[in-house]
Amino acid sequence: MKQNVQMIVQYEVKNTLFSQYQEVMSNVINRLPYYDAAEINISHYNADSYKIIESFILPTESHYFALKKLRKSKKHNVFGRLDPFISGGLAKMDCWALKKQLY
Amino acid sequence: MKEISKNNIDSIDIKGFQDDLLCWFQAEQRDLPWRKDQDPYKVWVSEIMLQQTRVDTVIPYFHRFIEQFPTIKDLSEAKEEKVLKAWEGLGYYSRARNLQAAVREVHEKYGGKVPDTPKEISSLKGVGPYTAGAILSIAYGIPEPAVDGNVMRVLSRILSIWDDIAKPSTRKVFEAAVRKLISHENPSHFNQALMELGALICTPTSPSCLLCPVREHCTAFHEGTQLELPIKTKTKKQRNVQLAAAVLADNQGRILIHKRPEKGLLANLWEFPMVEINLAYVSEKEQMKDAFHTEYGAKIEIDEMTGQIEHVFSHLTWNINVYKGKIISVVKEEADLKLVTLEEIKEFPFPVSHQKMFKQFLDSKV
Repeated sequence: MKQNVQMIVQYEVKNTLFSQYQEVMSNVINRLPYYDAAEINISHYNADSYKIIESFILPTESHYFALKKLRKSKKHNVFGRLDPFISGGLAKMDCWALKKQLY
Repeated sequence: MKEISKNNIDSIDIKGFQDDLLCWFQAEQRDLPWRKDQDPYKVWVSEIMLQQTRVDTVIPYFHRFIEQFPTIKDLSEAKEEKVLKAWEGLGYYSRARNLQAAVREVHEKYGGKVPDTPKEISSLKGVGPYTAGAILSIAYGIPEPAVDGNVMRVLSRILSIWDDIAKPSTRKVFEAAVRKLISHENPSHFNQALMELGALICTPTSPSCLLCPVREHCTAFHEGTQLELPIKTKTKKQRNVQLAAAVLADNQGRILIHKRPEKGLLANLWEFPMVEINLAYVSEKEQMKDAFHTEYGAKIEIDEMTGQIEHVFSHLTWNINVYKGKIISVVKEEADLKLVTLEEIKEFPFPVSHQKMFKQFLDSKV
């Protein structure tokens, strides 16, 4: 049976570049559905924070591994453009896959 | 902006690419009637039918065509009108006429065996580089490229080729790439796999990259440029033509039909009398009366409009107002002008737009 995976992506945006980040991020959000991502949510920890949590649902675990690789690739035409806006660059982007909900 | 003609053929793992592609094709290929055997004649018929036409549309036509003309001899000896009737509704009717002309040549010059060299096969009418490559590789296992729009799309992404695929000269770039990539052990499956990948996975607007068997070899996937490729400039805008046509019956209920000229659009197909609308005329009806009198010597009466039909060709659009009417004075029948009963009309090949007209006419009588 196919089991969905929730992908979580976390990183911190450089505070001086936040508006540029938002511009690039709108392209990222538009592109994610092409990789079968659904229920896309982008959140701050709180209003003053530049720590970002992305969450979306993928159909399989292999989608997660493939997308993780692309999201962290500087060579990617869309995802790679986030690199200059993230503290520590894409190397500091953390990704997790949640397979089962407890409650 | 990307550098034009830059491609990654030298950095690709060719063996790995072939293995991944062939493995996927052998597991996932669709069960299509022309894949049941490698009969060069059937491969040829299917490839001609598949030009500009979807697989689902072709399948029933292919079955009927092969049932009616099972061998090269049968097709070469058939009347052209019967071949056009079997092709009726599939469009691009010159394909059928060229196929029959080429099959006749194979029958007479090559003893009924489809030639197996690029030079001979390419000399046949209607056989371009794609069809030649498809027949040679699929039927004879010869490692020749078969590059169509699908294959150009797939390879433009895999190798990051930014040349404009709308330009005829670009095909050479892709043919050279296929010559380097093609499996010499199984060129038939290799070419079919590229086409199958283009049809099922590497589609024009939303490629399923995460399901793609060769994504690890694909430059566009790694660089996220799959939606920008291939580069294809827009073709010229289609021309609109305003026409009026009439389904005309005589006092015995026979219908007037006309055979189109043997050259040009929809050549040799039958139609109901039709005229291009000239805005200088007061009414379409008057113009039709004049035109049909001049062209066919017929005196007619035009009744009400039965409908409107839009038919889109690759280069122009017909907008046709369709009427029904009566023939008052007798029309002299000729080879290209006939009065036929509702039963007889079924034997004549009509383009889709005129089949629709006839249906509207029949519906209007109920």
